[in-house]
Amino acid sequence: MTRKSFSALAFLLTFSLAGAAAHAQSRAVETTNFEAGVESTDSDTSGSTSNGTLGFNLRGTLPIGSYFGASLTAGYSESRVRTREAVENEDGTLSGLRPSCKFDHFGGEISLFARRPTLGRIGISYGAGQLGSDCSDSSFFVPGGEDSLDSDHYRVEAELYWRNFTIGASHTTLSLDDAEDIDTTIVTGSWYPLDSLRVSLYGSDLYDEDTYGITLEHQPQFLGDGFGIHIGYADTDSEPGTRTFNIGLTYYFGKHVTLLDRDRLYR
Amino acid sequence: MRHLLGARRIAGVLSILMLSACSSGGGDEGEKGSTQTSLSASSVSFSVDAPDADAPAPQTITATFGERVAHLSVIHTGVGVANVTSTVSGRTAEITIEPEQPSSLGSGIFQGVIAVTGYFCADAACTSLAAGNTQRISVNYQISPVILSIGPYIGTANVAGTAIVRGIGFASFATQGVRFNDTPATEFVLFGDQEIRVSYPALPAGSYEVQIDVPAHEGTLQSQATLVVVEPTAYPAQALAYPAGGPGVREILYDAERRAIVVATDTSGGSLIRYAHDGTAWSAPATLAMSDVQDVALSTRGDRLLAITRTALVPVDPVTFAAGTSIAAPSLPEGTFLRAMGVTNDDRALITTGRSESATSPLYLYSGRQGTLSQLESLMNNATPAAAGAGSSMIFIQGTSATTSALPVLLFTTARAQFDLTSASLTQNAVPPVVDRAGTRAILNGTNVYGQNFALFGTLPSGALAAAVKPDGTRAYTYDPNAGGILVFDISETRDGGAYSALGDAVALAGDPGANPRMTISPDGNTLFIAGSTQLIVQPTPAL
Repeated sequence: MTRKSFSALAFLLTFSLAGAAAHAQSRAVETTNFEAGVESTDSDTSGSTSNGTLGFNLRGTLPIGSYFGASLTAGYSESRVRTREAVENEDGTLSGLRPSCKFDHFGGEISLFARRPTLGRIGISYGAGQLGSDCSDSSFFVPGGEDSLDSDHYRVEAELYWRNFTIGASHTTLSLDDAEDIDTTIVTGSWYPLDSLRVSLYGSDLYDEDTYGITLEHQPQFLGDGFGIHIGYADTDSEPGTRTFNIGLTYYFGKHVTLLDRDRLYR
Repeated sequence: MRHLLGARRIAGVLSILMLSACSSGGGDEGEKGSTQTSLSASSVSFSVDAPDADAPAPQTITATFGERVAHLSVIHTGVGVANVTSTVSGRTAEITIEPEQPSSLGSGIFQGVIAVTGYFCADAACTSLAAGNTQRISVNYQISPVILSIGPYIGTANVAGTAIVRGIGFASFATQGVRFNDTPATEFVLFGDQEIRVSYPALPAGSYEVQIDVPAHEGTLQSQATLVVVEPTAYPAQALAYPAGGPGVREILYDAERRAIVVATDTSGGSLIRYAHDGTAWSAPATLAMSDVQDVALSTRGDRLLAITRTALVPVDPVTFAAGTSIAAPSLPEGTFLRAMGVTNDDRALITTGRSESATSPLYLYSGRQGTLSQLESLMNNATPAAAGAGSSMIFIQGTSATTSALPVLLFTTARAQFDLTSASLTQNAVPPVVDRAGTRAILNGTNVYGQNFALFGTLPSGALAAAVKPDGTRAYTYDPNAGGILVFDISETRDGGAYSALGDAVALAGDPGANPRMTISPDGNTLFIAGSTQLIVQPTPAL
């Protein structure tokens, strides 16, 4: 058993014991629910190329007894690299046609979690995906030299609910074909100034670089609590630095509840 | 009590979270910055010395990228880059850049950019990629113009002249001037991508490399063009005997650079005879046996004699008089033979074919640069060509004695590589066509004088056995033994189709050349050379 697995198991066990001692509360997932989302992301690397990504995803969450739940997520995204700046001459002209370069990703994830709506949530996830590229014959994914790259990952995560705040952390181990595993820890702090608005700050240590971001999600009541809109910004403290903006729209099927309740009772 | 239990739970979970966070990341601090991509060079240059040259060899640049790079994107733009390929080994990639074929680009300076970007996972599950740094490779590809030839390549000492410089790729660079060694041309005009018309000042005798000034070009242009300026001829009238008597003369030419006369005859089944002048006297003739030789001409640059037999082209060294490797005419139709040849100013020659009947047969094109002989789709009826002295155009007169109706006279324009019908229709006789240096005057069948746009300027008396035009197009010379020798006509002005009158009396030759004579004139217009079945006559041009 690895050190990480041991940590995850201890984490899960501790939370379960704490949960068992708690008083009777709502279920981990009130009812089976689904959501569909679309998100546009712009990633801009200083002095290098930027790209725009459009992604779609579907998620279903279902209760497993009173304390547990599971979710299935599938998504597809396509990124188009803005190549002009990379190949233009110093005077801003192009010597020929602008080359195209794009990536796509198709993947899914399954999560199992335990939740006490008044306390928090812990979970483990497994996901797999495939990245593909369509840049040129001379472009390739590094581990295999091919134009596609398989990936899978494991994640353990926990969230603590306290009043209008949620503190969360996750640890992900990513495997890319034959390359070495990549471990990432993300710590998130969220605040619900309104039941329909969440402000999240997070930090990540992906590649040992510090990435900080902020995400705002709002579930407008005038849309009947059926839609959520989120925008986000992240900045990676690396060289060259990368800034990421995203905006997305999510539709929630089924029962319409406030964002706070959705996060703690449904998602 | 309940809150106390809640606080303990929170503390416990936070402890676990901290433990989990501390164990993450793998502790690979030494990998910081390993999203970086670097290249062994930031630029590559390709250069070829002519648009028809082979593509230069590909060049390879090594990209080294960090441990975190999951995808290496190598994209390029620019027409000069034909292909970019990559091979990866560990954390390095060999990026091979193949330049485009020069023939598909033409001359010029072509720039391109290759961008190499390492991408790494943008999130913990790697659902998208983010770019690391981008490294650029600047590609500079120079395809030089090439100066192939100048026509005519012979000039006369201390006499200003005009000529046509031929090459490939002139239009892609801003030409600032034309030089003959260090002497600039007095005037030049660029005609398209392959031709510059130049005027040069009076120059002393010598050889002058032709160069064009193109400041944007790096390095010296390859020039195969040399203007050879020779002293004017002043040969006394003289009859030169053949090595063997009674030949049928196919062609005569004067090699001004080497002061030599070359005659193609049917002696002993075919031979070339060469007389060289050593400054004092004509040498004894040298003979090169060549079976069924039909015609002979000097190449555009004067570096080869081009002889044709019935089936092949044979290059001959004009100095040693040694035959080179013959080039067989491919796919020569049965019953067809190579007949006559005209040389253009771009190091090519058009070769007509003949049949023993009045019927068409294909033309052949000889390319000196490629050393090839190829069949063209154009068909002519036993045509005889006559090229302008500058090689800028060539006329073809067709037909045989069996031809029943006049055939169109064709005009080939070298710059456009195109045949056009002229307004003239004639059936050729035994007098070969002749043209002046610039192609402004032509005499067909020894009688019809044509001017610009092939307008019939006038006619010469019939009875001439051979004709020549002064290089500047002002005089016509005919050899008419019944009239007493050489007749001179002023053809500088049109007679609107009327008859030209001879200037003065006929000038007697130094001897009787014999039957079926051929006549040519030196580039300076000072000397006529007439070869017949009896002997070769060197005759100063009548001063009229």
